Amino acid sequence: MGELVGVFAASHAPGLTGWFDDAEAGQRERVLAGYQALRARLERAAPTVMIMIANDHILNFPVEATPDFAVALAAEHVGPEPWFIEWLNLPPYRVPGHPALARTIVREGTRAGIQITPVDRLRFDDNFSVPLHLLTPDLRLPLVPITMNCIVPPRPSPELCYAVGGVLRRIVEHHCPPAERVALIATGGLSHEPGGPRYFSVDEQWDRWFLELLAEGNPARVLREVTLEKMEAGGAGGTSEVLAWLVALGAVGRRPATILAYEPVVAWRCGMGVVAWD
Amino acid sequence: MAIPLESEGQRSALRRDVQEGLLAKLDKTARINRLIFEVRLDAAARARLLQDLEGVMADYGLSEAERAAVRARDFKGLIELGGHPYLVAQLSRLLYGTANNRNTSVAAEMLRRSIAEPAAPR
Repeated sequence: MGELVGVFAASHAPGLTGWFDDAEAGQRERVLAGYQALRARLERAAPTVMIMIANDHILNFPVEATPDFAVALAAEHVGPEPWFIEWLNLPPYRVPGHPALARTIVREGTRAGIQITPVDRLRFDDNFSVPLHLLTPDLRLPLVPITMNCIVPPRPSPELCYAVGGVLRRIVEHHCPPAERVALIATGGLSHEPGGPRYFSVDEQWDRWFLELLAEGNPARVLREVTLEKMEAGGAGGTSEVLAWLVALGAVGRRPATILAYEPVVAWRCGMGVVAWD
Repeated sequence: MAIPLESEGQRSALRRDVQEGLLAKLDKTARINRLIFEVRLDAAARARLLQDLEGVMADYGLSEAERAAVRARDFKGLIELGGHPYLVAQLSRLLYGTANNRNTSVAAEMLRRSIAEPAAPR
């Protein structure tokens, strides 16, 4: 039996690395402090591998063929995809993969009813690159990246995403070797609307409402209230990246989230949230 | 617009997603989506886009309406024609540069002119 040693969620806005200095000093400090708090918890949890789950920004899969979930089998991942290097202001990097866990997730996930697509490699943009840079800058912890469809209708429902989180927990606990200590990190959100009329604003009210719901520790209420329509109301085509957060929620169930940071960072065009489920 | 179905069982077997708003405008067959999806991944294609925009649009079979919108930098119009807003935002970066994509960058400003609601006074 493996163990799920930590479950976390954090925003991955490209401005955090790409045009960091544009944000107000206080906001920069508080967001970084949140990431550092997450990193400290992650290190204390001493994982042997990290599953990171995030929206595929139509980078790996075109709008006409978008799997609900996809996982990369590679023994080593390479990022960022070249066109995104300048945007993210991050150098090219390599991070070890974990093919055995990736294959286990595909095999057992399929049996459990998840539409999950194995691929040899995934291209990374901000979704994995930004959190990796902040959370595991030495890039030694093996990574199993899972992309999901948060922005191409018809998307996996919040209920499905939550159920996937439960399946991931069971896979770790029942199908991983005993010494395997797995951290699960969801990235994306909070409110933002790439390419839409509200691209240059942040919906602070929506973000605080969502975070407070997570802090209640009542997932049934989260699923009742945080519908796809509600996500679009908080910023179309971006805010629904919190579907990844609902996967994380499904892995913890009724545990209340601890909010490590929240800042509405208009300069980065994104509501920035960082949470841990202790 | 909900399509009438015979039973609740049929209805619940289908996925439900938003029926209005930005994502509901998506046309998965719109050629602009394929163009942006592929050009991002190929340095030579990115360079050619800047040298020969008309040729690239012809190669991808964009509709006349899509071509006119690209020429006019009418990003909002491209979304109305079925372009995914995420990809359309990236078209601005393909055309105007992707480094330092702050709110005051040319790529962001060109996008804002087309898509954004007027800024609230500060």
